Amino acid sequence: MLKIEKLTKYYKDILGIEDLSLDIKKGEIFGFIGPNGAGKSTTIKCILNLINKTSGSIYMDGQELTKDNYQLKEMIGYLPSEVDLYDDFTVKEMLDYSASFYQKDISKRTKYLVKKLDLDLTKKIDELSFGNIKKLGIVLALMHEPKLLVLDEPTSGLDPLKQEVFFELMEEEKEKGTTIFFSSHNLNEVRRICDSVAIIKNGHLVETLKIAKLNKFDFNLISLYSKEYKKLKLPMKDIIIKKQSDEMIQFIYQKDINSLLDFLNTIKIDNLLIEKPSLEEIFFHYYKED
Amino acid sequence: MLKRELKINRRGFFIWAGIIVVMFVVVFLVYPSIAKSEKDMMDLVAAFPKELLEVFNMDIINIGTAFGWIATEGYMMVMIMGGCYFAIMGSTIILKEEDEGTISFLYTKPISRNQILDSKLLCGLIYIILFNMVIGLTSFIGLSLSGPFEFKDWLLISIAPLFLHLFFFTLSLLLSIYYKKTRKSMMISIGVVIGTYIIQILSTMTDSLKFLKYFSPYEYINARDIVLNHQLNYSNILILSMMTVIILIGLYDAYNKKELNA
Repeated sequence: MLKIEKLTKYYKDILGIEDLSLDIKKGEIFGFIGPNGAGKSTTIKCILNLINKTSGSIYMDGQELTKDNYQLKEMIGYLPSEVDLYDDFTVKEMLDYSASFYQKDISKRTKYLVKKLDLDLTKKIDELSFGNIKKLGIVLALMHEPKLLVLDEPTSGLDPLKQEVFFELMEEEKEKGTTIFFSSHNLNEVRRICDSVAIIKNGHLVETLKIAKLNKFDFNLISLYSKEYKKLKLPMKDIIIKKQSDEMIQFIYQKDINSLLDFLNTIKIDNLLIEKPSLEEIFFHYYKED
Repeated sequence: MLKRELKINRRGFFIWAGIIVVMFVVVFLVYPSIAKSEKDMMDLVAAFPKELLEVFNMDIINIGTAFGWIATEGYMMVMIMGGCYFAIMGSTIILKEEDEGTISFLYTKPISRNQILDSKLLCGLIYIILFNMVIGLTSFIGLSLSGPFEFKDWLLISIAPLFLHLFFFTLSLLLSIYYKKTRKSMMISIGVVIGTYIIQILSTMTDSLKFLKYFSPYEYINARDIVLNHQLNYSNILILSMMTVIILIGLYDAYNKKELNA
Protein backbone atom coordinates (compact mmCIF):
# COMPACT_ATOMS: atom_id res chain seq x y z
CA MET A 1 0.00 0.00 0.00
CA LEU A 2 2.69 2.48 1.02
CA LYS A 3 6.27 1.94 0.04
CA ILE A 4 9.09 4.27 0.98
CA GLU A 5 12.35 3.69 -0.85
CA LYS A 6 15.64 5.13 0.34
CA LEU A 7 14.06 8.37 1.48
CA THR A 8 16.58 11.08 2.31
CA LYS A 9 15.87 14.64 3.33
CA TYR A 10 18.45 17.25 4.22
CA TYR A 11 17.49 20.77 5.28
CA LYS A 12 20.48 22.45 3.66
CA ASP A 13 23.26 20.66 5.59
CA ILE A 14 21.12 19.44 8.43
CA LEU A 15 20.00 15.83 8.32
CA GLY A 16 16.28 15.27 8.53
CA ILE A 17 16.12 11.66 7.48
CA GLU A 18 18.51 9.36 5.62
CA ASP A 19 18.05 6.24 3.55
CA LEU A 20 14.71 5.30 5.08
CA SER A 21 12.90 2.38 3.50
CA LEU A 22 9.56 1.06 4.71
CA ASP A 23 6.98 -1.26 3.21
CA ILE A 24 3.52 -0.96 4.72
CA LYS A 25 0.94 -3.54 3.71
CA LYS A 26 -2.71 -2.81 2.92
CA GLY A 27 -4.82 -2.74 6.07
CA GLU A 28 -1.79 -2.62 8.34
CA ILE A 29 -1.57 -0.23 11.25
CA PHE A 30 2.03 0.83 11.23
CA GLY A 31 3.51 2.55 14.24
CA PHE A 32 6.32 5.00 13.73
CA ILE A 33 8.08 5.91 16.91
CA GLY A 34 11.05 7.94 17.95
CA PRO A 35 12.01 10.82 20.20
CA ASN A 36 11.53 14.45 19.25
CA GLY A 37 13.78 15.44 16.37
CA ALA A 38 14.25 11.84 15.22
CA GLY A 39 12.74 12.54 11.79
CA LYS A 40 9.12 11.40 12.26
CA SER A 41 7.53 14.67 11.09
CA THR A 42 10.04 14.98 8.24
CA THR A 43 9.01 11.53 7.00
CA ILE A 44 5.33 12.45 7.21
CA LYS A 45 5.90 15.75 5.41
CA CYS A 46 7.70 13.86 2.64
CA ILE A 47 4.86 11.33 2.34
CA LEU A 48 2.40 14.21 1.98
CA ASN A 49 4.74 16.18 -0.30
CA LEU A 50 4.69 19.17 2.02
CA ILE A 51 8.47 19.26 1.61
CA ASN A 52 10.70 18.16 -1.26
CA LYS A 53 12.68 14.97 -0.89
CA THR A 54 16.44 15.22 -1.29
CA SER A 55 16.33 11.72 -2.79
CA GLY A 56 14.26 8.55 -2.71
CA SER A 57 10.73 7.70 -3.73
CA ILE A 58 7.37 7.10 -2.12
CA TYR A 59 4.75 4.87 -3.74
CA MET A 60 1.12 4.30 -2.90
CA ASP A 61 -0.68 1.40 -4.59
CA GLY A 62 2.27 1.13 -6.96
CA GLN A 63 1.99 4.74 -8.17
CA GLU A 64 4.52 7.38 -7.23
CA LEU A 65 3.03 9.76 -4.70
CA THR A 66 3.71 13.19 -6.15
CA LYS A 67 2.31 16.51 -5.01
CA ASP A 68 -0.05 16.78 -7.99
CA ASN A 69 -1.38 13.22 -8.02
CA TYR A 70 -5.02 14.04 -7.15
CA GLN A 71 -6.27 10.47 -7.38
CA LEU A 72 -3.88 9.35 -4.66
CA LYS A 73 -4.35 12.49 -2.58
CA GLU A 74 -8.08 11.85 -2.55
CA MET A 75 -7.38 8.53 -0.81
CA ILE A 76 -5.24 10.03 1.96
CA GLY A 77 -6.41 11.40 5.29
CA TYR A 78 -3.96 13.43 7.34
CA LEU A 79 -4.05 14.48 10.97
CA PRO A 80 -1.16 16.78 11.86
CA SER A 81 0.20 16.98 15.39
CA GLU A 82 -0.83 20.64 15.52
CA VAL A 83 -4.06 21.24 13.65
CA ASP A 84 -4.06 24.70 12.03
CA LEU A 85 -7.41 25.74 10.58
CA TYR A 86 -9.13 28.90 9.39
CA ASP A 87 -10.03 30.93 12.48
CA ASP A 88 -12.83 32.84 10.80
CA PHE A 89 -14.79 29.67 9.97
CA THR A 90 -17.32 27.91 12.16
CA VAL A 91 -16.85 24.15 12.61
CA LYS A 92 -19.60 23.54 10.04
CA GLU A 93 -18.07 25.94 7.51
CA MET A 94 -14.69 24.26 7.95
CA LEU A 95 -16.22 20.81 7.36
CA ASP A 96 -18.17 22.05 4.32
CA TYR A 97 -15.03 23.68 2.92
CA SER A 98 -13.06 20.47 3.34
CA ALA A 99 -15.90 18.41 1.79
CA SER A 100 -15.92 20.72 -1.26
CA PHE A 101 -12.55 19.26 -2.32
CA TYR A 102 -13.95 15.73 -2.70
CA GLN A 103 -16.08 14.36 -5.51
CA LYS A 104 -18.19 11.94 -3.47
CA ASP A 105 -20.96 12.72 -0.99
CA ILE A 106 -19.42 12.45 2.46
CA SER A 107 -22.14 14.17 4.46
CA LYS A 108 -23.41 10.99 6.15
CA ARG A 109 -19.93 9.97 7.29
CA THR A 110 -19.20 13.52 8.49
CA LYS A 111 -22.41 13.58 10.54
CA TYR A 112 -21.48 10.27 12.15
CA LEU A 113 -18.01 11.49 13.10
CA VAL A 114 -19.27 14.83 14.43
CA LYS A 115 -21.74 12.98 16.65
CA LYS A 116 -19.19 10.43 17.78
CA LEU A 117 -16.67 13.11 18.76
CA ASP A 118 -19.35 15.42 20.14
CA LEU A 119 -18.42 18.53 18.16
CA ASP A 120 -20.43 21.74 18.28
CA LEU A 121 -20.96 22.75 14.64
CA THR A 122 -21.91 26.33 15.43
CA LYS A 123 -18.69 27.24 17.28
CA LYS A 124 -16.09 29.37 15.59
CA ILE A 125 -12.67 27.78 15.19
CA ASP A 126 -10.95 30.53 17.19
CA GLU A 127 -13.26 29.74 20.12
CA LEU A 128 -12.31 26.05 20.21
CA SER A 129 -10.00 24.57 22.84
CA PHE A 130 -6.88 22.66 21.74
CA GLY A 131 -8.68 19.36 22.38
CA ASN A 132 -11.71 20.38 20.32
CA ILE A 133 -9.50 21.51 17.43
CA LYS A 134 -7.84 18.10 17.56
CA LYS A 135 -11.27 16.46 17.46
CA LEU A 136 -12.14 18.56 14.40
CA GLY A 137 -8.80 17.53 12.89
CA ILE A 138 -9.77 13.86 13.37
CA VAL A 139 -13.11 14.42 11.60
CA LEU A 140 -11.32 16.24 8.74
CA ALA A 141 -8.87 13.35 8.38
CA LEU A 142 -11.55 10.63 8.38
CA MET A 143 -14.57 12.26 6.75
CA HIS A 144 -13.76 11.26 3.15
CA GLU A 145 -13.10 7.61 4.08
CA PRO A 146 -9.45 7.54 3.06
CA LYS A 147 -7.63 4.32 2.23
CA LEU A 148 -4.45 5.61 3.88
CA LEU A 149 -4.48 7.52 7.14
CA VAL A 150 -1.39 9.46 8.17
CA LEU A 151 -1.61 10.38 11.84
CA ASP A 152 0.99 12.50 13.58
CA GLU A 153 0.70 12.33 17.38
CA PRO A 154 -3.08 11.85 17.08
CA THR A 155 -3.99 11.67 20.75
CA SER A 156 -2.01 14.63 22.04
CA GLY A 157 -4.43 17.17 23.47
CA LEU A 158 -7.32 14.71 23.74
CA ASP A 159 -8.81 13.95 27.15
CA PRO A 160 -8.83 10.24 28.18
CA LEU A 161 -12.51 9.80 27.23
CA LYS A 162 -11.98 11.19 23.76
CA GLN A 163 -8.81 9.12 23.42
CA GLU A 164 -11.01 6.07 23.90
CA VAL A 165 -13.39 7.32 21.20
CA PHE A 166 -10.40 7.85 18.94
CA PHE A 167 -9.21 4.26 19.49
CA GLU A 168 -12.74 3.01 18.77
CA LEU A 169 -12.62 4.90 15.47
CA MET A 170 -9.25 3.34 14.70
CA GLU A 171 -10.72 -0.11 15.37
CA GLU A 172 -13.49 0.70 12.90
CA GLU A 173 -10.93 1.82 10.33
CA LYS A 174 -8.95 -1.36 10.89
CA GLU A 175 -12.06 -3.44 10.24
CA LYS A 176 -12.64 -1.52 7.02
CA GLY A 177 -9.11 -2.31 5.90
CA THR A 178 -7.72 1.23 6.08
CA THR A 179 -3.94 1.40 6.18
CA ILE A 180 -2.76 3.60 9.02
CA PHE A 181 0.63 5.25 9.43
CA PHE A 182 0.68 6.11 13.10
CA SER A 183 3.45 8.37 14.33
CA SER A 184 3.75 8.67 18.06
CA HIS A 185 6.15 8.82 20.95
CA ASN A 186 3.68 7.02 23.17
CA LEU A 187 4.67 3.39 22.91
CA ASN A 188 1.71 2.04 24.83
CA GLU A 189 -0.61 3.57 22.25
CA VAL A 190 1.42 1.99 19.50
CA ARG A 191 1.36 -1.39 21.22
CA ARG A 192 -2.38 -1.09 21.68
CA ILE A 193 -3.39 -0.61 18.06
CA CYS A 194 -0.44 -1.21 15.76
CA ASP A 195 0.50 -4.38 13.88
CA SER A 196 4.09 -3.31 13.25
CA VAL A 197 6.35 -0.61 14.50
CA ALA A 198 9.39 1.14 13.09
CA ILE A 199 11.81 2.82 15.45
CA ILE A 200 13.59 5.88 14.18
CA LYS A 201 16.49 7.70 15.80
CA ASN A 202 18.65 10.60 14.57
CA GLY A 203 17.12 10.39 11.11
CA HIS A 204 17.84 6.68 10.67
CA LEU A 205 15.64 3.63 10.88
CA VAL A 206 16.78 1.54 13.83
CA GLU A 207 14.48 -1.42 13.53
CA THR A 208 11.10 -2.59 12.23
CA LEU A 209 9.27 -5.10 14.39
CA LYS A 210 5.94 -6.92 14.49
CA ILE A 211 4.11 -5.94 17.67
CA ALA A 212 2.86 -9.53 18.15
CA LYS A 213 6.41 -10.82 17.97
CA LEU A 214 7.58 -8.14 20.35
CA ASN A 215 4.87 -9.10 22.84
CA LYS A 216 6.08 -12.71 22.72
CA PHE A 217 9.56 -11.77 23.94
CA ASP A 218 10.06 -12.62 27.58
CA PHE A 219 11.28 -9.26 28.80
CA ASN A 220 11.57 -8.72 32.54
CA LEU A 221 12.49 -5.60 34.43
CA ILE A 222 14.74 -6.60 37.30
CA SER A 223 15.47 -4.34 40.27
CA LEU A 224 18.17 -5.97 42.33
CA TYR A 225 19.14 -4.49 45.72
CA SER A 226 22.42 -5.94 46.94
CA LYS A 227 25.79 -4.57 48.04
CA GLU A 228 27.39 -7.55 46.36
CA TYR A 229 25.78 -7.34 42.93
CA LYS A 230 29.07 -6.23 41.32
CA LYS A 231 30.47 -9.70 42.05
CA LEU A 232 27.91 -11.15 39.66
CA LYS A 233 29.01 -12.19 36.20
CA LEU A 234 25.81 -11.15 34.48
CA PRO A 235 25.25 -12.21 30.84
CA MET A 236 25.69 -8.69 29.47
CA LYS A 237 24.50 -9.54 25.97
CA ASP A 238 21.01 -10.29 27.35
CA ILE A 239 20.88 -7.24 29.57
CA ILE A 240 19.94 -3.57 29.13
CA ILE A 241 21.06 -1.66 32.20
CA LYS A 242 18.69 1.14 33.16
CA LYS A 243 19.92 2.33 36.56
CA GLN A 244 22.92 1.53 38.67
CA SER A 245 24.38 2.60 42.04
CA ASP A 246 26.63 0.97 44.70
CA GLU A 247 23.70 -0.85 46.27
CA MET A 248 21.33 -1.51 43.39
CA ILE A 249 21.05 -2.27 39.73
CA GLN A 250 17.99 -2.12 37.51
CA PHE A 251 18.02 -3.84 34.15
CA ILE A 252 15.87 -5.45 31.48
CA TYR A 253 16.58 -9.14 31.05
CA GLN A 254 15.74 -10.51 27.62
CA LYS A 255 15.79 -14.25 28.37
CA ASP A 256 13.93 -16.78 30.49
CA ILE A 257 13.89 -15.55 34.08
CA ASN A 258 14.94 -18.99 35.41
CA SER A 259 18.30 -18.67 33.72
CA LEU A 260 18.88 -15.41 35.59
CA LEU A 261 17.99 -16.87 38.97
CA ASP A 262 20.95 -19.25 38.66
CA PHE A 263 23.26 -16.23 38.55
CA LEU A 264 21.56 -14.44 41.43
CA ASN A 265 21.89 -17.45 43.76
CA THR A 266 25.54 -16.72 44.34
CA ILE A 267 25.15 -13.42 46.27
CA LYS A 268 23.28 -12.06 49.29
CA ILE A 269 20.22 -10.17 48.06
CA ASP A 270 18.48 -7.45 50.12
CA ASN A 271 15.56 -7.13 47.81
CA LEU A 272 14.55 -8.32 44.36
CA LEU A 273 11.76 -6.96 42.23
CA ILE A 274 10.73 -8.64 38.97
CA GLU A 275 8.24 -6.71 36.78
CA LYS A 276 7.00 -6.66 33.20
CA PRO A 277 8.56 -3.62 31.59
CA SER A 278 6.61 -1.11 29.51
CA LEU A 279 7.36 -0.86 25.84
CA GLU A 280 9.11 2.45 26.57
CA GLU A 281 11.49 0.64 28.89
CA ILE A 282 12.24 -2.02 26.31
CA PHE A 283 13.02 0.60 23.70
CA PHE A 284 14.95 2.75 26.12
CA HIS A 285 18.28 1.57 24.76
CA TYR A 286 17.34 2.64 21.24
CA TYR A 287 16.68 6.16 22.42
CA LYS A 288 19.82 6.53 24.47
CA GLU A 289 22.40 8.85 22.98
CA ASP A 290 25.25 6.93 21.46
CA MET B 1 -11.54 27.85 -2.94
CA LEU B 2 -12.02 31.03 -4.97
CA LYS B 3 -15.19 31.86 -3.03
CA ARG B 4 -13.24 31.71 0.22
CA GLU B 5 -10.40 33.82 -1.19
CA LEU B 6 -12.88 36.48 -2.31
CA LYS B 7 -14.55 36.43 1.10
CA ILE B 8 -11.41 36.88 3.17
CA ASN B 9 -10.02 39.61 0.95
CA ARG B 10 -13.31 41.52 0.82
CA ARG B 11 -12.57 43.66 3.85
CA GLY B 12 -9.24 44.95 2.50
CA PHE B 13 -10.90 45.79 -0.78
CA PHE B 14 -13.62 47.88 0.86
CA ILE B 15 -11.06 49.73 2.99
CA TRP B 16 -8.63 50.59 0.19
CA ALA B 17 -11.21 51.29 -2.52
CA GLY B 18 -13.26 53.18 0.07
CA ILE B 19 -10.36 55.49 0.97
CA ILE B 20 -9.78 56.43 -2.66
CA VAL B 21 -13.49 56.83 -3.40
CA VAL B 22 -13.87 59.13 -0.36
CA MET B 23 -10.84 61.18 -1.53
CA PHE B 24 -12.32 61.48 -5.03
CA VAL B 25 -15.71 62.49 -3.64
CA VAL B 26 -14.10 65.15 -1.42
CA VAL B 27 -12.15 66.52 -4.39
CA PHE B 28 -15.27 66.64 -6.55
CA LEU B 29 -17.15 68.39 -3.75
CA VAL B 30 -14.50 71.09 -3.31
CA TYR B 31 -13.76 71.29 -7.04
CA PRO B 32 -16.35 74.04 -7.85
CA SER B 33 -14.59 76.45 -5.47
CA ILE B 34 -11.19 75.53 -6.96
CA ALA B 35 -12.53 76.07 -10.47
CA LYS B 36 -13.60 79.61 -9.53
CA SER B 37 -10.04 80.52 -8.65
CA GLU B 38 -8.59 78.63 -11.61
CA LYS B 39 -6.41 81.58 -12.61
CA ASP B 40 -4.82 81.85 -9.13
CA MET B 41 -4.12 78.14 -9.22
CA MET B 42 -2.54 78.31 -12.65
CA ASP B 43 -0.30 81.15 -11.41
CA LEU B 44 0.67 79.01 -8.42
CA VAL B 45 1.40 75.98 -10.61
CA ALA B 46 3.43 78.11 -13.02
CA ALA B 47 5.74 79.00 -10.14
CA PHE B 48 6.83 75.33 -9.77
CA PRO B 49 9.98 74.15 -11.57
CA LYS B 50 9.31 72.72 -15.02
CA GLU B 51 10.81 69.33 -14.06
CA LEU B 52 8.45 68.98 -11.12
CA LEU B 53 5.45 69.83 -13.27
CA GLU B 54 6.57 67.20 -15.75
CA VAL B 55 6.68 64.56 -13.01
CA PHE B 56 2.97 65.04 -12.33
CA ASN B 57 2.08 65.85 -15.96
CA MET B 58 0.98 69.30 -14.80
CA ASP B 59 2.87 70.86 -17.70
CA ILE B 60 0.45 69.44 -20.25
CA ILE B 61 -2.90 69.64 -18.52
CA ASN B 62 -4.83 72.26 -16.61
CA ILE B 63 -5.01 71.08 -13.01
CA GLY B 64 -7.76 73.59 -12.41
CA THR B 65 -10.22 71.35 -14.27
CA ALA B 66 -11.78 68.22 -12.79
CA PHE B 67 -10.28 66.02 -15.49
CA GLY B 68 -6.94 67.76 -15.01
CA TRP B 69 -6.96 66.68 -11.36
CA ILE B 70 -8.03 63.12 -12.24
CA ALA B 71 -5.25 62.79 -14.85
CA THR B 72 -2.55 64.10 -12.51
CA GLU B 73 -2.97 63.78 -8.75
CA GLY B 74 -5.93 61.41 -8.90
CA TYR B 75 -4.09 59.13 -11.30
CA MET B 76 -0.98 59.15 -9.12
CA MET B 77 -3.08 58.31 -6.07
CA VAL B 78 -4.75 55.38 -7.82
CA MET B 79 -1.40 54.10 -9.09
CA ILE B 80 0.43 54.30 -5.77
CA MET B 81 -2.34 53.46 -3.31
CA GLY B 82 -3.68 50.72 -5.55
CA GLY B 83 -0.09 49.54 -6.08
CA CYS B 84 0.43 49.33 -2.31
CA TYR B 85 -2.89 47.54 -1.79
CA PHE B 86 -2.24 44.90 -4.43
CA ALA B 87 1.39 44.54 -3.35
CA ILE B 88 0.14 43.79 0.18
CA MET B 89 -2.45 41.38 -1.19
CA GLY B 90 0.13 39.64 -3.38
CA SER B 91 2.69 39.34 -0.60
CA THR B 92 0.22 37.88 1.89
CA ILE B 93 -2.27 35.84 -0.13
CA ILE B 94 -0.13 32.68 0.05
CA LEU B 95 2.40 33.52 2.73
CA LYS B 96 -0.28 34.22 5.33
CA GLU B 97 -1.51 30.64 4.95
CA GLU B 98 2.04 29.40 5.50
CA ASP B 99 2.52 31.70 8.45
CA GLU B 100 -0.68 30.46 10.07
CA GLY B 101 -0.10 26.82 9.10
CA THR B 102 -3.33 26.47 7.11
CA ILE B 103 -1.45 25.80 3.87
CA SER B 104 -0.87 22.15 4.89
CA PHE B 105 -4.66 21.76 4.91
CA LEU B 106 -4.75 22.83 1.24
CA TYR B 107 -1.64 20.86 0.25
CA THR B 108 -3.16 17.62 1.51
CA LYS B 109 -6.40 18.08 -0.42
CA PRO B 110 -6.82 16.46 -3.87
CA ILE B 111 -5.79 19.59 -5.76
CA SER B 112 -2.56 20.64 -7.42
CA ARG B 113 -0.35 23.54 -6.41
CA ASN B 114 -1.26 25.17 -9.72
CA GLN B 115 -4.93 25.08 -8.77
CA ILE B 116 -4.14 26.76 -5.45
CA LEU B 117 -2.15 29.44 -7.27
CA ASP B 118 -4.87 29.82 -9.92
CA SER B 119 -7.49 30.61 -7.31
CA LYS B 120 -5.22 33.12 -5.52
CA LEU B 121 -4.37 34.84 -8.81
CA LEU B 122 -7.97 34.87 -9.97
CA CYS B 123 -9.03 36.42 -6.68
CA GLY B 124 -6.39 39.15 -7.15
CA LEU B 125 -7.46 39.73 -10.75
CA ILE B 126 -11.13 40.05 -9.78
CA TYR B 127 -10.31 42.61 -7.08
CA ILE B 128 -7.99 44.53 -9.41
CA ILE B 129 -10.80 44.81 -11.98
CA LEU B 130 -13.38 45.70 -9.31
CA PHE B 131 -11.04 48.26 -7.73
CA ASN B 132 -10.45 50.07 -11.00
CA MET B 133 -14.12 49.79 -11.94
CA VAL B 134 -15.29 51.35 -8.69
CA ILE B 135 -12.79 54.19 -8.96
CA GLY B 136 -13.52 54.66 -12.66
CA LEU B 137 -17.22 54.83 -11.93
CA THR B 138 -16.66 57.35 -9.14
CA SER B 139 -14.58 59.57 -11.39
CA PHE B 140 -17.18 59.19 -14.19
CA ILE B 141 -19.97 60.41 -11.91
CA GLY B 142 -17.77 63.22 -10.56
CA LEU B 143 -16.68 64.32 -14.03
CA SER B 144 -20.25 64.15 -15.38
CA LEU B 145 -21.40 66.49 -12.60
CA SER B 146 -18.47 68.83 -13.19
CA GLY B 147 -19.06 69.54 -16.88
CA PRO B 148 -18.04 68.17 -20.28
CA PHE B 149 -15.08 65.76 -20.60
CA GLU B 150 -13.56 63.39 -23.14
CA PHE B 151 -15.15 59.96 -22.62
CA LYS B 152 -12.23 58.14 -24.28
CA ASP B 153 -9.66 59.89 -22.08
CA TRP B 154 -11.62 58.97 -18.98
CA LEU B 155 -11.88 55.37 -20.12
CA LEU B 156 -8.12 55.11 -20.76
CA ILE B 157 -7.23 56.84 -17.48
CA SER B 158 -9.48 54.34 -15.67
CA ILE B 159 -8.11 51.26 -17.43
CA ALA B 160 -4.35 51.96 -17.47
CA PRO B 161 -3.66 51.49 -13.71
CA LEU B 162 -5.07 47.97 -13.99
CA PHE B 163 -1.92 46.85 -15.82
CA LEU B 164 0.30 48.36 -13.12
CA HIS B 165 -1.73 46.79 -10.31
CA LEU B 166 -1.53 43.42 -11.99
CA PHE B 167 2.23 43.83 -12.32
CA PHE B 168 2.71 44.71 -8.64
CA PHE B 169 0.33 41.95 -7.50
CA THR B 170 2.14 39.19 -9.41
CA LEU B 171 5.59 40.55 -8.56
CA SER B 172 4.75 40.67 -4.84
CA LEU B 173 3.38 37.13 -5.01
CA LEU B 174 6.60 35.95 -6.63
CA LEU B 175 8.75 37.75 -4.03
CA SER B 176 6.67 36.27 -1.20
CA ILE B 177 7.70 32.76 -2.32
CA TYR B 178 11.21 33.54 -1.09
CA TYR B 179 10.19 34.86 2.33
CA LYS B 180 9.10 33.10 5.47
CA LYS B 181 7.42 35.96 7.28
CA THR B 182 4.43 37.90 5.97
CA ARG B 183 5.57 41.17 7.52
CA LYS B 184 8.96 41.15 5.83
CA SER B 185 7.52 40.16 2.45
CA MET B 186 4.91 42.94 2.76
CA MET B 187 7.53 45.58 3.59
CA ILE B 188 9.68 44.55 0.61
CA SER B 189 6.72 44.68 -1.77
CA ILE B 190 5.58 48.11 -0.56
CA GLY B 191 9.23 49.19 -0.87
CA VAL B 192 9.17 48.13 -4.52
CA VAL B 193 5.97 50.12 -5.17
CA ILE B 194 7.37 53.30 -3.55
CA GLY B 195 10.93 52.75 -4.75
CA THR B 196 10.00 52.39 -8.41
CA TYR B 197 7.87 55.53 -8.13
CA ILE B 198 10.87 57.43 -6.77
CA ILE B 199 12.90 56.10 -9.73
CA GLN B 200 10.18 57.46 -12.02
CA ILE B 201 10.39 60.92 -10.37
CA LEU B 202 14.21 61.00 -10.48
CA SER B 203 14.34 59.90 -14.12
CA THR B 204 11.84 62.61 -15.11
CA MET B 205 13.56 65.38 -13.16
CA THR B 206 17.19 64.59 -13.95
CA ASP B 207 18.41 64.31 -17.53
CA SER B 208 21.42 62.17 -16.60
CA LEU B 209 19.09 59.65 -14.93
CA LYS B 210 16.59 59.49 -17.78
CA PHE B 211 17.59 55.91 -18.62
CA LEU B 212 16.22 54.84 -15.24
CA LYS B 213 12.67 55.36 -16.40
CA TYR B 214 12.71 51.97 -18.11
CA PHE B 215 13.17 50.38 -14.68
CA SER B 216 9.98 51.90 -13.37
CA PRO B 217 6.66 50.23 -14.27
CA TYR B 218 4.93 53.61 -13.83
CA GLU B 219 6.60 54.80 -17.03
CA TYR B 220 4.76 52.17 -19.04
CA ILE B 221 1.34 53.57 -18.17
CA ASN B 222 2.28 57.25 -18.09
CA ALA B 223 -0.88 59.41 -18.37
CA ARG B 224 1.10 61.72 -20.65
CA ASP B 225 0.28 59.52 -23.63
CA ILE B 226 -3.43 59.66 -22.82
CA VAL B 227 -3.49 63.44 -22.30
CA LEU B 228 -1.36 64.29 -25.35
CA ASN B 229 -2.36 61.58 -27.86
CA HIS B 230 -5.72 60.44 -26.47
CA GLN B 231 -4.51 56.86 -26.50
CA LEU B 232 -2.40 54.48 -24.44
CA ASN B 233 1.15 53.78 -25.50
CA TYR B 234 0.31 50.27 -26.63
CA SER B 235 3.91 49.14 -27.04
CA ASN B 236 4.56 50.17 -23.43
CA ILE B 237 1.43 48.37 -22.27
CA LEU B 238 2.62 45.32 -24.18
CA ILE B 239 6.04 45.48 -22.51
CA LEU B 240 4.45 45.78 -19.05
CA SER B 241 2.07 42.91 -19.82
CA MET B 242 4.94 40.78 -21.07
CA MET B 243 6.87 41.46 -17.90
CA THR B 244 3.80 40.37 -15.93
CA VAL B 245 3.56 37.18 -17.98
CA ILE B 246 7.26 36.43 -17.37
CA ILE B 247 6.71 36.98 -13.64
CA LEU B 248 3.71 34.62 -13.80
CA ILE B 249 5.76 31.90 -15.49
CA GLY B 250 8.47 32.33 -12.85
CA LEU B 251 5.81 32.32 -10.13
CA TYR B 252 4.26 28.99 -11.19
CA ASP B 253 7.70 27.43 -11.45
CA ALA B 254 8.91 28.79 -8.08
CA TYR B 255 5.67 27.86 -6.32
CA ASN B 256 5.78 24.29 -7.53
CA LYS B 257 9.34 23.93 -6.25
CA LYS B 258 8.67 25.69 -2.97
CA GLU B 259 8.51 23.66 0.19
CA LEU B 260 6.71 24.32 3.39
CA ASN B 261 8.59 26.63 5.72
CA ALA B 262 10.15 24.48 8.40
